[in-house]
Amino acid sequence: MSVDWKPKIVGFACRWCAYAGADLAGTSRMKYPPSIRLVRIPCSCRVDPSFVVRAFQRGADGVLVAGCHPGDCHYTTGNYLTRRRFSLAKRFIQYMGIEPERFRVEWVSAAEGGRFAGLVEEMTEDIRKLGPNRKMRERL
Amino acid sequence: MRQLQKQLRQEAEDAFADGHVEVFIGYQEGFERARPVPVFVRDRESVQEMVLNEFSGVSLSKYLLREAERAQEDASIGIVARGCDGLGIERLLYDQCISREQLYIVGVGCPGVVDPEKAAQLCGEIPVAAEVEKQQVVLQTSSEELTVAKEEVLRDKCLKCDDPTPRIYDALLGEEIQRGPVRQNRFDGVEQLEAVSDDERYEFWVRQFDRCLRCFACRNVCPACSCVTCSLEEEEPQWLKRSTSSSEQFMFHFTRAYHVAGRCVSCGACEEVCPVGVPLMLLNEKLLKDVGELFEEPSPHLPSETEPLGEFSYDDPEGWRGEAGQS
Ligand code: SF4
Ligand code: SF4
Ligand code: FES
Repeated sequence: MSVDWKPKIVGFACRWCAYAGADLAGTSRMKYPPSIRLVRIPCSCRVDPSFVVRAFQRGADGVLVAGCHPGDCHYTTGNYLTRRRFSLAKRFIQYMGIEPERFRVEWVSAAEGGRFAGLVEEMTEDIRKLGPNRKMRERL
Repeated sequence: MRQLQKQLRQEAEDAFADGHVEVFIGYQEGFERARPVPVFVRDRESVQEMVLNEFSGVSLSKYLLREAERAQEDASIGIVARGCDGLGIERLLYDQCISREQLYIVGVGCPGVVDPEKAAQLCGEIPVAAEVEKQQVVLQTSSEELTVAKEEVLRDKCLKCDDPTPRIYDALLGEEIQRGPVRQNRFDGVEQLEAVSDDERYEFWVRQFDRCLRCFACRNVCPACSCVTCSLEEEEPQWLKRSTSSSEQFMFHFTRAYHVAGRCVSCGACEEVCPVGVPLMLLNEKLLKDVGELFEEPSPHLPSETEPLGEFSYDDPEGWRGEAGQS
């Protein structure tokens, strides 16, 4: 492990809640580690589980999928489908050998800036303990 | 079985005579007696080429897709189906790939199919005949007769079979058989693998996937895999590179298994056709197990009206919780 390695997390955040929550954390100048790269998506159910595998292939140390709380999805039912898909996908990815701390699914509302910052901090810490991810990784 | 083969030929002949089938999908003799191969009988005279014996068990259901495309509009397609192919046919029917009116299904109450590889291990050569009896299997080689336990010699898929008789058929050969020949616990293998560490599990899959030739036989045979354009072959965006690096193998196997999650009927065909023995059922069964546990959907099988990943309920659990890493 190189001395200056820092965890890299790819975050998929739906534009209506989770992304707005992250925005709020930013505009309120909350401090959280710069480890996350956010990808804005229309709805959490836009995330195909193979996006997660792709992120690990391309060098992510962790992946976060974040959407509106159940009941709050802008498209009414998108996140209920997300819940089913990722309930399976999370377990399946772990079954293939990825540590569970590296991949999380969370609901974050537009008002939960603090929660978003806390999540990133927690994940970054967990991943720091695990070290860089080499599993499923493309050889550079 | 000899009796059943006679009946099958008769059924097929009658079907051609009535003029209501255009093609009949079954088995014919292969290079070796223990390896019958699929046959597509297109006229009444060729019916006598069809065989049905203790070895004829490779999956046929997916051929229906191709034959349905070729068939004249209202002509029907005959097929001989053991329980596992019955499940495959149900899958294709519920996915509206074929219509029931188009099919003439000759079901077989299946006592189990002998795996030629396992038999060769036991006999020292490929047997020329076999008889699946109530408690055991009798194998016949060129020089001797050997009696072995079913667990030792039936195909893997038969050891976990719950439905030896297809649930839908137009004619049935032999008796309805209710119980599978052995019925080992379906999820034993998955549970063993779940119990080891993440690192060990990863290494296990690396070893398995490294053998994969990317021949796509597993996908091609799968009755739940019927998209016109497969994402695995798409060029733009290219989800799967042609490379067989370990990383791409994970992408391939993740996608293949996940794309049939909630739709796999556990017919076992994918694992059976794999030329290099990738334990694909260990992937499918993990998903089957979780679908059952999380959503209380009928699982395995029953391609009934429910679509575990196409529907939801408001009080579904969050399957990612409870384990390490996320409370
Ligand atoms: S994934 Fe394998 S076991 Fe499941 S339906 Fe397809 S071929 Fe059958
Ligand atoms: S059948 Fe086996 S070798 Fe061929 S693509 Fe599937 S897993 Fe790979
Ligand atoms: S819009 Fe946020 S989860 Fe659907």
